[in-house]
Amino acid sequence: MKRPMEGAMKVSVDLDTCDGNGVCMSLCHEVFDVREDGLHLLQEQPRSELRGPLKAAEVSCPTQAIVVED
Amino acid sequence: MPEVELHHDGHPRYRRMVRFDWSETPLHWVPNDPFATHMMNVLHLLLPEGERHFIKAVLEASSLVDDPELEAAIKPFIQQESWHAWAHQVVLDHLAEQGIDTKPYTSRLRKTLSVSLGDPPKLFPPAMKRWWLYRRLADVAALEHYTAMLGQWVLQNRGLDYAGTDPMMLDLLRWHGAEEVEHRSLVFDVYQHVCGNYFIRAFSMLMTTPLFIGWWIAGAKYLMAHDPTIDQKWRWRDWLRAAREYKLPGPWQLLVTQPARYMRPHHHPGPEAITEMAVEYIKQSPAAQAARERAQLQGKASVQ
Repeated sequence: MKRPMEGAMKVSVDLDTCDGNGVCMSLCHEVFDVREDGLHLLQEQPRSELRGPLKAAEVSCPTQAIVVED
Repeated sequence: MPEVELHHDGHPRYRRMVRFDWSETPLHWVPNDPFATHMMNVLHLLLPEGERHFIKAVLEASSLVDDPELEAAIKPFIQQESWHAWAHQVVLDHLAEQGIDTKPYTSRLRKTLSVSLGDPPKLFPPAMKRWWLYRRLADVAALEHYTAMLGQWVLQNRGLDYAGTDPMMLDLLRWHGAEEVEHRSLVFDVYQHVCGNYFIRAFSMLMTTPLFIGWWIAGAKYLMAHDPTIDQKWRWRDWLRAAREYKLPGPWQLLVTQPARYMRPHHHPGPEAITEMAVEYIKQSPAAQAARERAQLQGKASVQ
C-alpha cells in the first residue's frame, strides 16, 4: 500500500462541485491551477509547509469542493 | 464567451483567464525610477490580501441579496477578484527571486486585515454580527472606489508609457484596472441593497483612507529598504515628482479629492469611470487577447 510521504498533506477536489472560481488558486497556486478546461491539481500530496494556504483554500472555496487532510 | 451583451453598467460579465510571463521584467520596471516602481509594486502586496477579504464579504452578503440581476453579477465579480489576487501573487514570487522577500510585510498585513475585514468577534450578538457585515461591506465598497479610481487613472494616463515601462507590467496594471472599472459598482450596489446606511458608508471611507494610504506608504518604504540594488529613501517630494510626470496619481487626489467625492450623500460609482475605455483596452491587451484565444481553442476542443 502506498503511504503518503512523511510530512505531506492530502488534497482532494470534488470536480462536480467545483465551479472554477479560482479562489483556491489565488491562495495556493503551488497546488491549484484553474485553466480553460477546469481545475488542475498540480500536487496531490503537497508538503506540509503549504498547510496554511491549503487550509485557507479549503475554507474559502465558495462551493466547498476542497478537502485537505493532514 | 459573448463579447457584447446587455448588462448593468458597472457590473462584471465574466472573468478573463489572463496569464503573464515575468521572466523578462527587470527589477525596476519603470526605468531609472525605483520610487515609482516600488510605489506600484505595493499593489502586488496589498491587492491579493485585500481582494480575498472582498470575496469573503461579498459571498457572505450574497445570501441577503434578492435582486436576481445583482445576484448574477456576484459570481463573475468573485472570479475576477480571485484572478487578480492570483496574478499579483505570482509577481511576488518574481520579486522574491530578485532578492526582495515580502513575507514579513504581507503576514503583518494579513493579521491586520483578518481583524478589520474578517469574521466578527465570536461573542457578538446576532444584531452586532449583522452590523459587522455591513461595516465590512462598506469598507470593501470604499476600497473598490479606490481600485476603480486607480484603474481609470492607469487607463487614461500615458506617463508610464513615455517612461518606457515594462510592457508586461503595464499590461497587468491596465488589465486589472480595466476589470476594476468594469465591476466598479458591484460592491457599492450590494452594500446599498443590503444596508444602504449613509453614515456607515461615509465613516468607513474616513477610516479606510488613512489606513489604505498608510499601508501603501509603509509598503513602499519596506520595498525600498529591502531592494538590494538601491540606497534611496522614500520621500514625499519623489511622490509629487512622479505625480507631475503622470507615473502615479498624486497624494492630494488619493487623500482628499477621492474620499470627498465618495462621501457625497448621492454618490454612485457609475459616473466615476468609463466602462467603454475599459472594454476598449481589454480588446487590445496582449494578455487578454491570448486568454481569449486559449478560451476559443478550448471551446473548439470541447465541441469535438
